[in-house]
Amino acid sequence: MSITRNPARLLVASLQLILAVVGLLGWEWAARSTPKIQFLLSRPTLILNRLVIWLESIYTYRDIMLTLSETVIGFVVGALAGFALAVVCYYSPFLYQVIRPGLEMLNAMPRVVFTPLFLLWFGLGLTSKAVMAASLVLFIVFVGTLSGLQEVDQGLINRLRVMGANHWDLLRHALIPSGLTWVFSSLRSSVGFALAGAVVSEYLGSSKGLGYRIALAEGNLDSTGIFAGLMILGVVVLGMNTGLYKLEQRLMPWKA
Amino acid sequence: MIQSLRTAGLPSAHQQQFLLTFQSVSYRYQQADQSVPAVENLTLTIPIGSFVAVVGPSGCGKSTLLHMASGIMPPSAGQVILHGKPLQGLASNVGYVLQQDGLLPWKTVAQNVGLALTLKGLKPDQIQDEVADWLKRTDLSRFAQSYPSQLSGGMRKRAALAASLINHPELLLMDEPLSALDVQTRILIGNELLTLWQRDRNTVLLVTHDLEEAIGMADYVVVLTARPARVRAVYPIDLPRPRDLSLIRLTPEFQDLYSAIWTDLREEVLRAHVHHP
Repeated sequence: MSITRNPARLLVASLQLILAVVGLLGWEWAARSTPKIQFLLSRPTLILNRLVIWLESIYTYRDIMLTLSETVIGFVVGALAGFALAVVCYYSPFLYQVIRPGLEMLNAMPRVVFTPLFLLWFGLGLTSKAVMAASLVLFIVFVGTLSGLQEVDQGLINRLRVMGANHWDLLRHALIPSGLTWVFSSLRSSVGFALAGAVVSEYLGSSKGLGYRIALAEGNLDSTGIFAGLMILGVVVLGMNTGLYKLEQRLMPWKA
Repeated sequence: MIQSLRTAGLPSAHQQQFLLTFQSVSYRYQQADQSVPAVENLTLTIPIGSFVAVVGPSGCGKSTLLHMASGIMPPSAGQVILHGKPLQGLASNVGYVLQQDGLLPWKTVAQNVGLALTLKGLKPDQIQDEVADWLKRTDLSRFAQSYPSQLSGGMRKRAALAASLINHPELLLMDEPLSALDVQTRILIGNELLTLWQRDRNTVLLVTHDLEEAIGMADYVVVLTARPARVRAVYPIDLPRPRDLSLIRLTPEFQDLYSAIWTDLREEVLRAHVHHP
């Protein structure tokens, strides 16, 4: 839909722009007039400056690629594991009953506490970060997918069964596509978690990656570096969300 | 004077071939600690190639009958006999048309219509030919690549009919297939249903609460009692075919049948209402 055909959208966009400009100008002005604020909050032009310097360095791209790979690998592994576990639990309510308390307990535990353990088990490299990201994504996707599978209309299932569908057919033609809707809604909320898992792990034990960069800046009380790192993270999340949206449209054309 | 056959089977003593027989079937379900009878000691035979409509008060166990016929819910007592053999497990070669159209939202109209053949493991080009044929017959060719959500209620219903009939099922079970449609669309789709059925003459067991629809379409109308369901009466409908549902209800023969059957049905409806207000 073009902007001109929708005046409300144009209004929303211009208000968003005005809000951003006013916010940034206010920030810039406050930081310039009070040194303490500049020390605590940095300043938009300083952050921009830092970003420009960073983006001239090959190491920045290495860090971005590393964090991105950790996040994406963790995300994919966690999502697949969560999906598979949900399918298994759907077919075996007995198993689900048995493992449910354990799953709920694990899910409720603050995962940050596991970070040192993961570092101990999987080393300081990529694996420990991907595992961390996966452990966060797994539960979200598991819960979403299981409720998606349980929501499938029983009438539909019955109709397919009398048409001669076996278990595999039901999975392929009804359960998976129906579950997909839920998988994607849970995936959208897991993107942030996957990235947070990877970054927090880097933050606590790594010598590379965006999390490391932010930790380094914190060590130097360098608020500009922290904000610059956060800006890059924000762009990465936006990119991942867009990719997910494209994937969703491809995989679920009936939703369009 | 209209007479109902107050016997168990439909056409009395003739050596007719039966496709489906409910033999003293009962169905009970558990509610809290109680076992509640939905269907009790019901006997009904359905001749090959006949269109049988079952009417009865709301909630009397009509749908349960279809579930038993398809094997989804085996009877608690008695037997379902399909093709002369007691039904065990799920029935095969049965088509099911539901009140909701039962189409898969994630498949295109063409994929939905061809699903039964896909499940059978037919080759894609074979499926394509059959599907094209059925889409043409249901006037949906232009919408082959659309998704169900993009169609109107009537078009979805036509697609659902094509999807159920493409497999040439020997038995077609229909659970209130037209009741989600508005009254005018219902007549139009009902006519199309009859036209499609006329060609292959599958055996049909239709459950409906709409007596006009039942008389207009069926060869026999079975009236069930209020819960637990038994057969109260069976009326042969000798109206000539092909029938036009938009006109048939104006004929005196139809009106006579309607008032005769309604007398039976009304009593059960009132009885059901007293017990479950």
